Amino acid sequence: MKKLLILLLGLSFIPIKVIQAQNFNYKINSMYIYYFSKYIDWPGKVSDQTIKIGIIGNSLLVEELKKLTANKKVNNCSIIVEAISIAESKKCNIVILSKNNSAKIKELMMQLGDDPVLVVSEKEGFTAKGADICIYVDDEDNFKTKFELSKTKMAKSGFKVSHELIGLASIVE
Amino acid sequence: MMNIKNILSTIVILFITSHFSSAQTSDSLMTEFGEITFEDLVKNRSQVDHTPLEGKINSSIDVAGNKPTVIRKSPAIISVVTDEEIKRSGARDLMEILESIPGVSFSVDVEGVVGIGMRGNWANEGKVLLLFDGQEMNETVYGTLQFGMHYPIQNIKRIEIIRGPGSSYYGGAAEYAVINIISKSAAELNGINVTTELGQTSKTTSRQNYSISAGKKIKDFGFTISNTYSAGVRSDKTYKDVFGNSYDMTKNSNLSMQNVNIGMQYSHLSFRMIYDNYTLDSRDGFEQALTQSYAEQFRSFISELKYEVKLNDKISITPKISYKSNSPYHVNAGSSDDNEEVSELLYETKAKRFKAGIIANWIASDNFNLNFGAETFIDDGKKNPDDLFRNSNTSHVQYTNYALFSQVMTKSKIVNLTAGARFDYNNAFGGAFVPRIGLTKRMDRVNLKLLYGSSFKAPVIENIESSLLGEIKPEKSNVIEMEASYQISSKMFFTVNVFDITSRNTIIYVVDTSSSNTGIPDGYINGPKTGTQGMELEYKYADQWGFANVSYSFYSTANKAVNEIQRDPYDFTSVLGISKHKVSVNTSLNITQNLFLSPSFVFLSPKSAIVEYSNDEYIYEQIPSLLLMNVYLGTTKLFVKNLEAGIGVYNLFNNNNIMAQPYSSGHAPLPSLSTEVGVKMQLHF
Repeated sequence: MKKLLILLLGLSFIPIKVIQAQNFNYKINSMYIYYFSKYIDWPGKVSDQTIKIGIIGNSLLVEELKKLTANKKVNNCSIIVEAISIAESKKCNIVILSKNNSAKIKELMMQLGDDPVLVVSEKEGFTAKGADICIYVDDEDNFKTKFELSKTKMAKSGFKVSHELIGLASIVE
Repeated sequence: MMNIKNILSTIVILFITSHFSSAQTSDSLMTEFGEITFEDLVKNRSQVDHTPLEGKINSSIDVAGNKPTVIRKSPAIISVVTDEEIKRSGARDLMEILESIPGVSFSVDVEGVVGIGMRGNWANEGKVLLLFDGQEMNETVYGTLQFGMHYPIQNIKRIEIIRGPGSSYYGGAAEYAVINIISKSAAELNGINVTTELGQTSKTTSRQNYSISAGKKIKDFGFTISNTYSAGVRSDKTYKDVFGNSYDMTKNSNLSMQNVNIGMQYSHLSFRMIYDNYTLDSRDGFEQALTQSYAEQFRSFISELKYEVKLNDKISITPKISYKSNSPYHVNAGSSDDNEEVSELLYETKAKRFKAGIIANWIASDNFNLNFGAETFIDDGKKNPDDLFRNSNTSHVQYTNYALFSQVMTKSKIVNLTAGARFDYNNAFGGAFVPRIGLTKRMDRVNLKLLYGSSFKAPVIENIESSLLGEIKPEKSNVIEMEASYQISSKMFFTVNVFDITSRNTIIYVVDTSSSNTGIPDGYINGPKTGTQGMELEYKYADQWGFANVSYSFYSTANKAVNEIQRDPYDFTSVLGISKHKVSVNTSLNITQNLFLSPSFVFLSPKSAIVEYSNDEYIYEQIPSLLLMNVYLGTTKLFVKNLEAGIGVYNLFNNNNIMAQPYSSGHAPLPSLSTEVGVKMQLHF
């Protein structure tokens, strides 16, 4: 019995690779990104009347977002979606760090510095690591896609966030 | 003039509203799913696909009155059986479903009654609580549950088995476990279900079952009604008592049940009524087999009315009243009966429980929930005027119980904490205070639980009235549990837990021939400290091809004291009549879209039983390990869409899953049913 207890306690301390327990529906995520671009104002004017969305990592989101935003305008701006590297992130208005590239958050934040680029992570809790918004699936609430946002950080970067967005965020820090 | 003004202002408002609506539409997004606003996306459209297994392990459960929590984070060790799993298993009754749950065991008590054990602890007399649609099914004379073709399973939506203490919320019948059965709601039934089942062994028609249920939801009103009738035999083998007397159980172990369950709900007002009449043939008696069988009846009527008052979004108050009447172990002497023999079984005691309670629930936020409740009940026991309760020396007794309880649940990034306590005061046996505390922590795919719970078994009418020394205290247990679970993938889930149970003042029935209470040779006493330790594993796999649920459970008394009457002479670390190890495997394979095959196994390690009385002492025998196997072939569509059917072979190897008495009182093991072929059909319209 004692051996079992020790084994169980031991098991609890084994470092386990942190992996998301569920898959995203990228159609839903692309809609979220679209609405983020709609309900957030960038400091100053968006150059060339174009919102550039860059996605870091081989994410299915690229194609879904391209399909969704084709021929659509947000606040009189057209939308360009492309897969990018971290080095290219500064030229974007929105950068999405895909789930499988979450480990690169530090590198991305260093690259961006104080530039007003909206960073969206696909990992829960990453607002604490520098992202402005995180999209995640809450498997404890009927597998709903939710988002958390860092109001403080976004205000510091000069983003104006609409009440609609804040009102519907699951966590606001 | 005023009317014209009103009309004009209405038109203006309508115009503004319609303009506003169209402005909202311009904020929406045209997608392949249609036009979606952001609010609609967040609130209604954001659900993503998940596997059935992910759905199951993340389904919410209402444990001990707190805000519903997902199973793997709830502060209890829980097994859940869904309607789909029940359907696919082809299970014949509740006992067969529970047989596959870790830690659950079944044993014979006396008079042909089979009761439940939990984690190596005999729990027959009110130590495991069975809730059927929220109603306590334990009778209030002895506190027992009776298993074998009892409690209908045809309309079950899910069964939640809390394999640990539940007294801090549920009170004095939930010392070792809570089995919570939830029937299909009015919306889920939505029509009429008719079920028929038939079982045949090589010797007899072993069971018949007929069930009809209906349910409908119309706006705020919903109702369900079901009527189930079952009849069959416990066994078709030969029973042999410890003196060598034997009889064929085919004609002497009839079981029958009629159960009517009515539920109604209108807005926040709900009503439940259950009538249950279970009858069994008793010929095994207490020690020596009788010359004929006698019908023994357990009749219950239960009703409850409750109303949830929502003060605001966060606070609700639910007052409820309930009434329960039981008449268990009821045996009447027929004119042709052997009066001397039947006198051993004659029993007629009616118990009523009137209960009133109120629960207030405050869900302050996602991270904080507090509830508080108070309840009182009166237990009223009555015998015939010429029959007396032993200690009160009267044919009518009454006891009053008061209880206060509260639970709090807080969530934080470090750990989730649940704490609660319940205090009961009963004018027959005094007070019982049972606290509990649970810590749960989720780290992505890993969940950890550390739980401590104190629980008690409240003495019920006969425990009090037949106590040997004229008084009896509540039995109390302290239970420590630790669980670790790991979601290996979206299709696999693994759980392991260990437990430590210590019970004090164990309520046991003893035959005390040296008692100074002349003429009262036996009765209930508070026995010495007992307990068990052990572990339980569960592994679940679900994929397109079907699913597999595998479990293993083990208990030991190695570091605990054991009552002398429960000692296993072949293994001092186990309890008489209860297997130490159990493995169960439930699988279901999809053969086609509508056809499935479900093999299931239960392996039980050896257990000991009293088999003979010789030279003034009982002779024990170790019953070898046993493998039980069922195979069920079912279809979800037989010829027409709403007709489901199946055929099963039960106990394929024709093994004898004997029910041994888990204490030394001279009852020989009760044999089980041999190989049975069963068919089942269910029509929904």
